[in-house]
Amino acid sequence: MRHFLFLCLLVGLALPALASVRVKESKFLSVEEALELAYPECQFERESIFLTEKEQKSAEKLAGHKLQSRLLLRYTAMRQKEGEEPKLAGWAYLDTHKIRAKRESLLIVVNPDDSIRRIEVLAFLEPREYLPRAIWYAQFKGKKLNKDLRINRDIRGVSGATLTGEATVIAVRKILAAHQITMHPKESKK
Amino acid sequence: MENRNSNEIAAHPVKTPSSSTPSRILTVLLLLAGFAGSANANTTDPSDLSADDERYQKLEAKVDILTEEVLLLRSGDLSSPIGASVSGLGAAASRVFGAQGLSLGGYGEGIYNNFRSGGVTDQADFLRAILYVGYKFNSTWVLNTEIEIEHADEIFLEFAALDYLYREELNFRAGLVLIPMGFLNEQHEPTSFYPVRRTDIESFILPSTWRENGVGIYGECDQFAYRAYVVNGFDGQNFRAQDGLRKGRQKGSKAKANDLAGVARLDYIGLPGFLIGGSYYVGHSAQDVDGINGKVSIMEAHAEVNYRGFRGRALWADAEVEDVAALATANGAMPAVGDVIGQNLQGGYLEGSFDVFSLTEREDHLTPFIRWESYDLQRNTPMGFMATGAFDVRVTTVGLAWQPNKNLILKADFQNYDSLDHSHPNQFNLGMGYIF
Repeated sequence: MRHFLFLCLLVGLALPALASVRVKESKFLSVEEALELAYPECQFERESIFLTEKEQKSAEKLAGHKLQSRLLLRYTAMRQKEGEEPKLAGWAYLDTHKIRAKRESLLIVVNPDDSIRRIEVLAFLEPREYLPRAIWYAQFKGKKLNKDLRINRDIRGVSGATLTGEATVIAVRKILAAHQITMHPKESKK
Repeated sequence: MENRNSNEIAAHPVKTPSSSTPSRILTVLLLLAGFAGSANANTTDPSDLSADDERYQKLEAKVDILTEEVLLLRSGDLSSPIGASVSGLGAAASRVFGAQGLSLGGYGEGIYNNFRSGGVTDQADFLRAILYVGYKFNSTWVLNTEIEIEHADEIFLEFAALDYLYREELNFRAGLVLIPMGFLNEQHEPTSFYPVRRTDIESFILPSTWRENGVGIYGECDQFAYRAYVVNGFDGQNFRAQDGLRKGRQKGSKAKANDLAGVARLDYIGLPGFLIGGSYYVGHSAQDVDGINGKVSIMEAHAEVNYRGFRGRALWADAEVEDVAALATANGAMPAVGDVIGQNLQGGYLEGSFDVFSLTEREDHLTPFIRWESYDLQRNTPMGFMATGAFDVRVTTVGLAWQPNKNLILKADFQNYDSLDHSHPNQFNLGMGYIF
């Protein structure tokens, strides 16, 4: 009887899940789709940024992690209303890093106030079990580079995908540090 | 916005070229581009300003191309990651899940058990060394395997599942699959739990690492995740009181498949750091024994909360086994009266831990933890047999885990055992684990 009641409970919980099914593709977004999602109706400029050794060291100090490369890819989003000058909407950085044995590619979108706007997974080569849900990545929204931007502080860990969570936080810290060093070099020196 | 070190591609709005000194990377790229040996460089008059401009533009174009190549190599998983024009964006073609190919990983754990009783031999055991091998055939077919060396001299195939990735809500899996019950059966890497030893409940009632041959489906629907498989059932003739359901696992090796079983799991995953769910297993276990079915049904509920450095876990499991006496005496076996598994096995545990280094700037993790579990493997015994009290147990585990990083863990704990017959010695445990 206990088992029957438990089964009824499990099925009862499954009903709202079934009701919420929306058929959608499980493919990842392309860079273009992710950019458009982050900054609708914007024009984008793409820059390859070469950090100097000094900038690299400063960024590493800010991030608290070593930068594997001094080459960054940045998209700058500009929004232009009719009859007005184009205005800065924000930036996005493409970052690829290793998680366990394979890599993930993220588009890390940054607001004009240097906070995270969103994070989009563009490729994930580890088994799907290690891919956190979209709601986990949503935690980064509005977060800036500070000591609390890490797992078990402002970012909650993710069961079963610990290494992905850690790798993502490190990637975000590195990108925000490089962003700060390149966009606000004077402030970074203080 | 400060304009620096920019390298625009022609398809994009043009920015003023940077006049800053190229970095060493840029120099390398220029050398790679064959700048030194280019015909243009040799034939240009240095005093001719327009020729210099032209040469400069060509160099920039070469740098752009090489930069593109470097970025493509780095982000090789994106079919058109960076080169495509992004002005006037249109709907791009769907991206494949990822690149094809082989992936390797692994984990291992070694433990030392020091029993606080002279009658039990202490033990040092390299419990598991596992090599994970995966292969992605294309965007929809993925193979995941775990090959395990257990106790340093036994080899097992821990799982080998072929997945067909159809869509987020519905994917297919076949092979030797992990039974989706509890916390530790599917996520049993040593860094996923702080105590040295797995819980007794997830060793005897949910016998991790529990894997059987089968087929099934899995997916996520909005805020819920599910898995549902059909697998070969237990071999109930091997059930024994001291091991609970553990010896009934067939582990994919020439498994008797006269009796099949079904298992399903549902989790709510709508809040980061929070998980609540349950699972249910039902199937016969008599396999080739005439006249009985040995039905086994297990229900299990679990919840986990992660908040900053705190992690709390709770799990409860209840199993019912029919025809226990007939299974135990099948094939003429004569078990001792106290050696027969209960018709009902039940248990639960609570675990709390806190990463104290989460309060600091440190990158490593120091996590004291406490776990309390209570279980009974002979809650209800059949006529003619009796519960000994040895399997009605309360265990309190207190310890400390240190992780220099998320891939490594060192553990120490003390386990206080309290069984009805007071037969279990307390024990002190040390452990090390790694994943890569």
